[in-house]
Amino acid sequence: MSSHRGQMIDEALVKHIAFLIRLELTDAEVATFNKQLQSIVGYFDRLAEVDVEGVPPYQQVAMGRAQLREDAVAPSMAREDFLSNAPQQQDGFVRVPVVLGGGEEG
Amino acid sequence: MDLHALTIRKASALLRSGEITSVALTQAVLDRIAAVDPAIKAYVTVCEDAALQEATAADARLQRGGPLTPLTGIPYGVKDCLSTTGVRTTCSSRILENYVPRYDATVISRLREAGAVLVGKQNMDEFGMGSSCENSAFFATRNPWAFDRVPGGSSGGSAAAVASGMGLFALGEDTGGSIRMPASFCGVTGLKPTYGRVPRYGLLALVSSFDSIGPLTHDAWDAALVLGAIAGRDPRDSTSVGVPVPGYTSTMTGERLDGVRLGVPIEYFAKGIDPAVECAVRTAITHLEALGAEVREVSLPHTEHAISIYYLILTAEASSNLARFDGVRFGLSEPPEGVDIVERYLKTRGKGFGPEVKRRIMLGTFALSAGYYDAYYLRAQRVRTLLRQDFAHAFEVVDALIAPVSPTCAFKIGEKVDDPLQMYLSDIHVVAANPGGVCSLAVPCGFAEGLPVGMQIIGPPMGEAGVLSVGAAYQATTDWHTRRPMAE
Repeated sequence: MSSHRGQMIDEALVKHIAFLIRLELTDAEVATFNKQLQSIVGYFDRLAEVDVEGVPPYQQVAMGRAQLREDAVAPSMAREDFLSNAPQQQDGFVRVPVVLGGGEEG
Repeated sequence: MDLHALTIRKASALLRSGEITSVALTQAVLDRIAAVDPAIKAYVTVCEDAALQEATAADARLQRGGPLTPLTGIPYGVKDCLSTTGVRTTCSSRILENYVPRYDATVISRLREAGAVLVGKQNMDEFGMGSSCENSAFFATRNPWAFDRVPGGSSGGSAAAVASGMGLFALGEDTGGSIRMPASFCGVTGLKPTYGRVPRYGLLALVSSFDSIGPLTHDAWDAALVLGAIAGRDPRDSTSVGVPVPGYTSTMTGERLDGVRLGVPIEYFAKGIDPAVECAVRTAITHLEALGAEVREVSLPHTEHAISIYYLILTAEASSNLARFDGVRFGLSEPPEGVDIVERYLKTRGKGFGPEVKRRIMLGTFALSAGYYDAYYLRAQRVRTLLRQDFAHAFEVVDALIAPVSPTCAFKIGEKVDDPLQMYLSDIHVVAANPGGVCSLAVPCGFAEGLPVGMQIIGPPMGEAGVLSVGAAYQATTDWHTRRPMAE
């Protein structure tokens, strides 16, 4: 196993990751994060030293058993409460920029 | 008598006997905030009018004699990641600067029902990402013992507030030390309950498989009172546990620890620990032994990998959890007009998140991405299994583990901000409890150069009653927890 994966991080990968999570970065941020991510991932690479042969990955199990509530009808949040935090709204709906195609916001 | 400096236990007795009113107590806390918070900066929002209304209601309840709880009339503050109806809840982030929830977190509604009085919302590292409270988008909180030092993080505002009398207790949230570390740095008591013991409904999620809500108080007794009020199954959180909530204070009366088996994990006293911190914790262990506890060394061999396990899983889950901040349904939206949706996402998130949040969600996306998933995220989950086995083996032979909270006392503001890896490494003694699935109580156990030192009492899953009893016996026979900074 390579112990130098941290060095596989470069500015192109930083920009790619940032776009995947829809994060606009300045060029200065790209340069800083590139260096910091290399150093942090280089530290994480020590995990490669651990023998995990035959060890299953941990899976979250709620203690006892996951308990589901009864599927009963109950009031949900009132529309005006939900909309009270929406940055843009129109006619009782959340307003969203165009998703497909370009053009005017609608 | 300084009302703001009282414990819950003492204040509750005075309220019930009619010697003080909740309005007077709440006003004393509000006055204390006005006097010292300009220097400490623990609060993001103070709700003075609402607090005095709640105090008036609590006084009415006290006068008619019920229903009363140990928290009726007690003023408290809460970390700004817990939803409060009608009160801004920011996570100390620009992206939520103007977000006003329309519902209460379950823990907040339980405290309301108990009659506690909410005085305000406390500063934190943005979305809980930090160990010093310097990552707040608004301002850094200062340590009440030394204003040029950090209060610890991420619940730094909560710990600083309790230490300096700006609330008789606080609710914090611990994802990887975020209650225990600031408790230690500020000289207060902090409990990270077992995951699932306290419901998370209404908590703005950082890491859904680690996050634990818990109290910051002056002593273990008060922590037990608060835990008793907030713990227990909630139908709105399927991970909350149905195990009955015991009367935590009923087992906390003793000063002796005869027959209690305590383990000292050798890896927690390894390289890098400040000699003064080690000395204080070892002195405390000798003290516990003198109270009758059996002490032995144990080994948690995967401790050295706890930081990697913790940060890989944290960043992966956080990158998913923070995807909800899209500038559409709530929160910041940039620019307001005339862009397509991808542009809206890019600008909203680029402008709304601070540097540590950006760093971590990029790390998490990297750890989850094709080509790296097996080597990072999946491997971290495998080593997490080993880490949990370490704790399980230790708890076959001991009832609790004693360890330092942090390898150092509170560090200087600015000392680690430019080196995120060094900041992460300061969490070495606290992070394992969260992926490890255990509970842990931090209590003050000494001072080094005028700064508080903290000790962890780590217990098995659902072992809160046990660690609180050990903490109570220690505090019944020591006075570190009674020291207060900025006292007149």
